[in-house]
Amino acid sequence: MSLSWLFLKGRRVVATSVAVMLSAVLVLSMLSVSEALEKSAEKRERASSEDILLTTAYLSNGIPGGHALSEEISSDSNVTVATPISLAIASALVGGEDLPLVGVGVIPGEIEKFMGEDGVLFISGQKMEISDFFEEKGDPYFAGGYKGRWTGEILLDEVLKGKYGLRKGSRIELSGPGGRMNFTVSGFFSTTLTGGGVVSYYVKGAFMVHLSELQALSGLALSPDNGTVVDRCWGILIKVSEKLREDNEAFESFASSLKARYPLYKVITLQERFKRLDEQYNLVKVYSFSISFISASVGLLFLLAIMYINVQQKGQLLRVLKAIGASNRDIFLEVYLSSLLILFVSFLSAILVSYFVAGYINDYFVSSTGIDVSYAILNTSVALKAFLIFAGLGAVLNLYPTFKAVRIKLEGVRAPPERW
Amino acid sequence: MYLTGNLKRRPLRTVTIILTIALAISINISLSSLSSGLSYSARELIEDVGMDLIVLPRGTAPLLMELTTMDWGHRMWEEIMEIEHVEAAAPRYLSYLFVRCSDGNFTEVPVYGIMPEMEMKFTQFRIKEGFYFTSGNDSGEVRDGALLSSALLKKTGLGVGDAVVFHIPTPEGGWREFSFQITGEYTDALNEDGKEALISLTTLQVITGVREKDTISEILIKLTDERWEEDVREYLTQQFTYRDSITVYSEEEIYEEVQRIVDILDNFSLIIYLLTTTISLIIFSTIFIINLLERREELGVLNILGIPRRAIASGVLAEGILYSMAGFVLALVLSNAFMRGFSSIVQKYYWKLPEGATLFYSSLPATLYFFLLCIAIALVSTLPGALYYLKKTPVELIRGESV
Amino acid sequence: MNVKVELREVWKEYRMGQVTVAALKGVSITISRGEMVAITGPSGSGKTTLLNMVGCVDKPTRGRVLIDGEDVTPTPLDRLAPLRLKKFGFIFQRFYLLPTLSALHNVMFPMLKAGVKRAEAQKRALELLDTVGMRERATHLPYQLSGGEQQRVAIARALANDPDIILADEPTGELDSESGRVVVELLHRLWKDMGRGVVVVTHQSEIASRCRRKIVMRDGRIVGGR
Repeated sequence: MSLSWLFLKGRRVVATSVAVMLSAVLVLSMLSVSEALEKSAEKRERASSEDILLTTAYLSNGIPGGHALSEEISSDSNVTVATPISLAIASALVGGEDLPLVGVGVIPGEIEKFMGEDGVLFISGQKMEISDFFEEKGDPYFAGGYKGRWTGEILLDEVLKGKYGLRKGSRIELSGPGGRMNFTVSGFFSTTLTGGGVVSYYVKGAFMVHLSELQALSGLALSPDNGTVVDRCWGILIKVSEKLREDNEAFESFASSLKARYPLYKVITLQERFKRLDEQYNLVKVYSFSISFISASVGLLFLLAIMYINVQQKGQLLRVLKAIGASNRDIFLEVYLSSLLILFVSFLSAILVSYFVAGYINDYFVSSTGIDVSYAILNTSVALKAFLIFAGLGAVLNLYPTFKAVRIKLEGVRAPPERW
Repeated sequence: MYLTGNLKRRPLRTVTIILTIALAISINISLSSLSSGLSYSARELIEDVGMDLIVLPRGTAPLLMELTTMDWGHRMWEEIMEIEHVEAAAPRYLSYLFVRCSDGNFTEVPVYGIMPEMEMKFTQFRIKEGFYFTSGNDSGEVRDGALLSSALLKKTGLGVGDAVVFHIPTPEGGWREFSFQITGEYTDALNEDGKEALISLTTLQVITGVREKDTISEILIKLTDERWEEDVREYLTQQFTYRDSITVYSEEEIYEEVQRIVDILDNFSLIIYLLTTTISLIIFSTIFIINLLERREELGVLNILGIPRRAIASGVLAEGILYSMAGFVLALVLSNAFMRGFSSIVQKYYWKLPEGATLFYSSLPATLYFFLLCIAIALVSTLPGALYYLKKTPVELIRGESV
Repeated sequence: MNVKVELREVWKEYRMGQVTVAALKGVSITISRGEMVAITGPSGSGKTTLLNMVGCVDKPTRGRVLIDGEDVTPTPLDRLAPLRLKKFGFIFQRFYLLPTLSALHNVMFPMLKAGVKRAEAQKRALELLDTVGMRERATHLPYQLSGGEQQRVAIARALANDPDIILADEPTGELDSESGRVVVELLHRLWKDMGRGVVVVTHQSEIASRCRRKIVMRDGRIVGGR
């Protein structure tokens, strides 16, 4: 005997379903944001080209003698390649505007070993997709002791290509603490370092040059006081041998030996990056889970209340049905399944709506911050977590009206209506 | 008595409505308080520094200061001090040096090169014990005293009067050591838990090899009166000798930079506000309509007994407002509990907030806004049902037409 | 002041989908304080509708309703609420006590709405409950009372503002015979001892026989008595 018509009443079901759906949307959205933060960062970290990064704690270019240090590390049999890089802010005069740009200094010939075949380079999680590369390899300006000829090659952010009409072969002047230098555009790349939104308030784009040329531009090459070579860089990217990469214990031992050899610097492995990520995102996860739980509770409490009201209002009819032969099992199943039906249908609708909400969140944050990563990911894992919260809470809470329905006493069949 | 009796009539429904409103509003209060707290803290912290203007290397954003420097710091400072209405100017150079901790490992710490006499006019660095390492203006001589932050003293196991050794790596792979006597302990208003140190500006420039170019990171400026801000800024951007190599920010502009980021959080929170408010509206109005449906005859009887429909409608609205007020009070309790709990977790495990800063900040206008939101939710939820029923004659109500 | 309610050629029609049903067809009647009137007739004859017209609970489709000579037909029902509050007392078949209020508070309710001070209302309510023999149950909620007890409280409520006319719609319809007898006795006393007008809709001849005046309705018309 199907009794679900007793408990599924038109507009009331619609209102209940909408409320439960909206609370599920909130749960899914919060969980998808938390998932994205974690997964995006993890994906970027995992995609990073280096196995180990030797660097300083802060964003300063705090490692002197970068070239020599990387050669020393490269000479280790466990290391396939080690290369130094620098970061700096410089101004470019373009189209009459003074543009602050963030620059990366690399050594062509070495940095390619950290690039994928598709020309994608990750430096500590920041992606650079390079279409044209430097023609001249090595770092001749450094080889000349920061005197003499420099290559003058520069790769520019794609953002600048479109906006300022720059192309291969364009001339561009950069200025920094080390002075002014002229460069010729050799190619372009796209990067997660820059974009629209908040980031664009501070930097208008990115560039890449030979390491020594960036050092000279930024005053990192020579000591201002006595003109001796300091050769400062931000970090050394290290790629270890395949054999070491596959042996966790040996890898950790090698990392420890680096720490012992260079006690002033941080030796950052992938595991350590993940550990830092975990710590950072735990807080976000707690916050988003709290809101999810509260939202789920509200929606499901409403479902409980409506089912309870339905049972209250149909009390007399339930008594009559019991009198004519409906069993407790029949009533239990029909009440419980009716509520679970509403729950599942609402949840499924919520997934569809959340897909668009997640899309909107992504678009919003990308345009606000200018950083092109995922801000909300609605995947199977998120849907499953949300479903478990909903199904778990819902299954428990809806037992209450169900047992109320089952416990209705037959003796009250001639009792007056409950409301009076 | 009739009004309060109705609240007790169906306890589960009453609890559902009140809890829905309470939870929805408490989420909204928490989110709103979070962004207010960030804005408030930013303003407090920025004010704590005690500056009116800051001079930075050209093209630098206040939040990206680590990567840029400017030269001829002392000359800039001298010229700035001669500008009318400038009470004090504090040049600073930020570098990163290494210190050995009590566990034997090295830690990299920010070290500020400062002019103590000038720095005393500002309030960012607060001395807890001891004194600045020099009593006069930085005159180009090397001073060998240092102040360490409380956190750094704890990390290194040192105290006032001890010697601290700063290590600076060399291109050859080793390091040079520079010993200083710790003359005092301080805290940084912007970063209470920060491990950092202060030494003389010239000394820092010398040991890091930038003395010749007289490199610095920033100059803080304090005016005799903030109404001269525009005048001084105009001078700095138009007549100042080094105007081409600097950027000038006011306190307000720095605050706006922070606010830009807080606004992103605010706009995201809008989604949550809309969802939670819509959910509570649906729940409130559905349950309330059901309640009215069940009391249909009762409403008719009240009218027959001589209570005008307007009075009955007011009673229904009052009932709705009672629900939402109960929800609002509970929301205040829940949100306060949540904010306190979350704040203490953050401070205990993640980041000790500087004095004067707070993660959550609830202002009276915000609280009033949420109070009015509760009233609005009550009105929107109860009014349609009330009006629908009250358009019916008492006879129609008693006869019973289904909704 | 004696209230006189006059209906002149009153029609009441209801639309039920495409069909129009006339519950009253040109009914004319006058009822005053001091009369005990029974309105009888088969189901669907328009008894309750007539009672509603007398009590200004409903408006006629055609015809006029006069209260003390004043035509109240154009007056909105809501504006007649104070009249109902003070001049009429209503008793219903299903009692319709407010479920969340005790017997005492149910009786006090109309008085408070009429502006009587709380202490005074309470005193009077207790007196009324005493009159109907329910004083000991003053603090009980309706669900704690039997049908007959609830109806007695309803009678006390109907008397709250000292009305001129009591309108009772099948007051014994949901009661057992003993309780019904008690209620009828009370109504009779209201008329005889307290001099109020009592109009009772009933299909029970025992009740009708106790009324001085009987109005018989059939198919929306008065076919006997006036």
